[in-house]
Amino acid sequence: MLTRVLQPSIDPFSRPREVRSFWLGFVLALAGLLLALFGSGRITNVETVTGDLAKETQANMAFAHGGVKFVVAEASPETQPEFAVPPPPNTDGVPPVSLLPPMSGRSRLCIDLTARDPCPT
Amino acid sequence: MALPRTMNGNSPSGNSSKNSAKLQRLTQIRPWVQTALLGVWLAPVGRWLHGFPSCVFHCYACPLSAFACPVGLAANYAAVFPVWTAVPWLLIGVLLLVGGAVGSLVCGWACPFGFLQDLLARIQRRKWMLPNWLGNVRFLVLIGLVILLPWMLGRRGILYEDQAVSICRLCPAGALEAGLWYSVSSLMSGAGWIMSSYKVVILAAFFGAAIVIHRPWCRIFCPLGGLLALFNRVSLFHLRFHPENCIKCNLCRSRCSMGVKVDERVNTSGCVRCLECTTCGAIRPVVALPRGKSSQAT
Repeated sequence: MLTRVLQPSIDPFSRPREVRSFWLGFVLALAGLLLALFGSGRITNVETVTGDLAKETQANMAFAHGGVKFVVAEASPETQPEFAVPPPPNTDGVPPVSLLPPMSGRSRLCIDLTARDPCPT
Repeated sequence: MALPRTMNGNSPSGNSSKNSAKLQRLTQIRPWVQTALLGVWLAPVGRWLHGFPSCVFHCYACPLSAFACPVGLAANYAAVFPVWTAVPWLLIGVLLLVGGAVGSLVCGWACPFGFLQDLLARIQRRKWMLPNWLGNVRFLVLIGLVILLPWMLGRRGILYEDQAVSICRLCPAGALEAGLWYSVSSLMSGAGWIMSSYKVVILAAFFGAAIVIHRPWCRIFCPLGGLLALFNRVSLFHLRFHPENCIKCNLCRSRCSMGVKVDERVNTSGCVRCLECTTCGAIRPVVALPRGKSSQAT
């Protein structure tokens, strides 16, 4: 439904034509292209649960599938506090996962590349 | 279709009327382009492309989503930044590339959530006008909900998906594409409804608002649209005003459903570049070229 807005008293010839320079848009788009190419192959400093470093695309994938987790770090028996719950048996080489916050000093934030949570939130 | 004619009888020149007809055709094909691009965002190719962010607003938890949601990715990176300090170069690159090349053209022509709102706006109801300053809320959402809040809660060791308040928990696209889908599936399998009641309220409010306000999400809340619209003043693709073709009919502003004061400026941050304002021929889509030349985009 078109509702006509009355023409304000603006002289068309006094309006800016909005002519612009090519270079700023070009430099931004080129920088974006280069960053996207660089980012798509980049290996980040983000660790996976298996101890490798993840690619940026793998990190993105993990975010979309609920793959960010706190993983309990391996601790020697001497340093293991008495009240600590023993970790469950390791079945397939993947360290046990818990929801311990990072301030406990025994967990680290990792991404699980095998996570397939359909709706993380 | 009759050419626009002013009260004082001015009419566009022959050249202008040809352009006008061409531009009118351009706006007529927009729904078809939007429909065709649904095939890209909802491609049934599984989720192996989720490592790559898209340039449109579309929930990555949707079972049919091909790419990752750039807003969700940005919030996730903000939440883990205190631990990893990982900069999402790929995401920044995609947004810079799209912004520098076309600005918010993707909002008007490619975004599936914008398309849904366009369809809802076709329901014949009197539309409410919104003040233009409400568009600034998009930047508050971008800085507050997408960057600062996840970062602050991330510093306290709360994972993004465990954060009680986040853009994903308030997002109507997520409620529609993921929450509703999984709730219906869960209900049909006998496990019961899983979407929270406040998300149902958000979804209902969104649908109600989209019928009485044209593109309410894009105009008031969309952080991605706000970010891309910042590029409208510098992007290669842009709109140019040709005063020699203006017949003072003000059809440009009358056709703008986003409430942009097109009769004053066109490349503003409120514009989604649907190109409806180009129908009369005085405003034309162009691509900036070196040495000040420009090629008409049509």
